[in-house]
Amino acid sequence: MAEAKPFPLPDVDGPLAPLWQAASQGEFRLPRCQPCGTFDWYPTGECRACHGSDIEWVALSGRGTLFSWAVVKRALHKPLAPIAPYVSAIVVIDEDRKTRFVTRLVDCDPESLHAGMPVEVFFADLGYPAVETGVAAPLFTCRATIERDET
Amino acid sequence: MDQNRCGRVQLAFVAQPGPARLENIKGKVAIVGVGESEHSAASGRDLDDMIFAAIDAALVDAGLKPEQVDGLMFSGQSAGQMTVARFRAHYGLNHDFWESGAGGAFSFAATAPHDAWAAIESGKASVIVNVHGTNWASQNKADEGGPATAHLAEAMKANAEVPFGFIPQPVYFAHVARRHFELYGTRPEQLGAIAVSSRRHANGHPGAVMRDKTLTMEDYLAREPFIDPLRIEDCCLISDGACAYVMTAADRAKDFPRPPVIVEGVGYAGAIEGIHFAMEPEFASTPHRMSAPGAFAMADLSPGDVDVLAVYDPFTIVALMAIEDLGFCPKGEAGRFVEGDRLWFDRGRANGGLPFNTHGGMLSHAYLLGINHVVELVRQLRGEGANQVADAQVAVYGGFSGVDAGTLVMRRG
Ligand SMILES: [Zn+2]
Repeated sequence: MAEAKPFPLPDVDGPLAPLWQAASQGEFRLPRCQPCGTFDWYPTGECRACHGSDIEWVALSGRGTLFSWAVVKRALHKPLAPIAPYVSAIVVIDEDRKTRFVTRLVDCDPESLHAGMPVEVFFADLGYPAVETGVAAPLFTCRATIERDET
Repeated sequence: MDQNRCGRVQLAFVAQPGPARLENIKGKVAIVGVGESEHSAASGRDLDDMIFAAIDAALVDAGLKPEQVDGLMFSGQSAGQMTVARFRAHYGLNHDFWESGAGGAFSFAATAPHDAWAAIESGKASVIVNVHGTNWASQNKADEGGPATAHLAEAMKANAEVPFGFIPQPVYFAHVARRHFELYGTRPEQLGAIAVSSRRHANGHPGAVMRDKTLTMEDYLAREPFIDPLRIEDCCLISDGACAYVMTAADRAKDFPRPPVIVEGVGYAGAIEGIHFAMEPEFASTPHRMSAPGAFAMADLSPGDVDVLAVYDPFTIVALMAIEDLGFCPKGEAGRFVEGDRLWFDRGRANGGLPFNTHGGMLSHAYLLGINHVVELVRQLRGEGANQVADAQVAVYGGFSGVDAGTLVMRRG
């Protein structure tokens, strides 16, 4: 039998190194044009608004709202099988309504989800909760879940 | 195929965001022949054999000999497609050819007549074959390729999407469907209406891969979603097969044996964010909304004039959005629009219907990337359809690739 392909890890020193290195420090950073404040996501190195190149990866609140999601019960891409079932999600960041971040929602009831609901970053191993990958990732969870846990 | 040439062709046709300005070719080009190989699930058949089977059939249909062909269009972005060298070698020819990698399937099955006209008008070619084949079913079975391959290799996807599990295409379009549900109140059974209507058409079409497998709404709803909200029946087939069509100047069409089909309008538009679907500003829509207006304006027609529609349907949700983005109903209302028998070939426009993917589409006919849709529409306009729409005069193909859309308006000659 062929050996299973490994879990698809990002290149933490690659083109999105600042995202992954920030995640390993418990920070959620995305690139933003310093002079005009427009986010450069996905990064092109040239501001979409002012065409400047003074772009910095800034630390964000980690808060956002749910834009859309899918409950992946069966992973068609076989290396993802160890985390299935999982909730794939797109989140709009609170700092900019036009910037959407692809992530995974964890510790939420899929039946309770709706567009626009508040979510918050949750740093955990990329394979959370099923496999240890050794890479910390900005996953997201429902803000209501966190608030419930705190009370 | 030659890697350098592949690269050059691809670079020249990277979709620019927004609608393209195209030359008005209304009434200039005729489609005078169509052909198909047999289509199937994984078959182990050779891609070249299927491509030449489709070309042979199209040439017979057009009453042409291979030596009368002097132009070839194919997809420069897909592996293993036709080349002039292979065409010459196969048929033992050595005359000059005009060629273009901006043909084949997807959106280019819609826009090929536009580029063909430029070649015809400038005297570079007079009889042009557009062809596309795929052996993705066999590749998929061997775990070798298929639609996700290019996406896995793209740097942003590899580093910001794949690690989170945002791959492959059914995952993207499950998000699109969910967003459409949330924005417009679209429901699973409305996606189901597209799947069931398509299957009904395939059941009446001898060339459809799913001709013998029925699908009722009860069957559809009984199936558990596998990438919720999508069910397996919301996803297209993966097939082996090939299709071809033959183009020439409309004023020569009377010299050919079959009733000609005249190209009335062509449109093309690129998505705003390209392959990075998650950032697309109009997430729950398609570039059809930018491609269709130009095509209808060129044709001097409107969606209300269309007797039969075929859209590139990788997922039911894409077909549903295409129907509204092409202008057949207001944006957000396609869910209600497609219910019941609205899309059936035998209801017809006169009775408030919209005959749609009358061969079964990629959902139930074959995953020939939309060139099979053009072949079907040509047959409909000739009155040769297996599920013939009564008195079909005007047909529209909505091509799509995820990063762009192409619109082709045709009428019976
Ligand atoms: Zn700027």
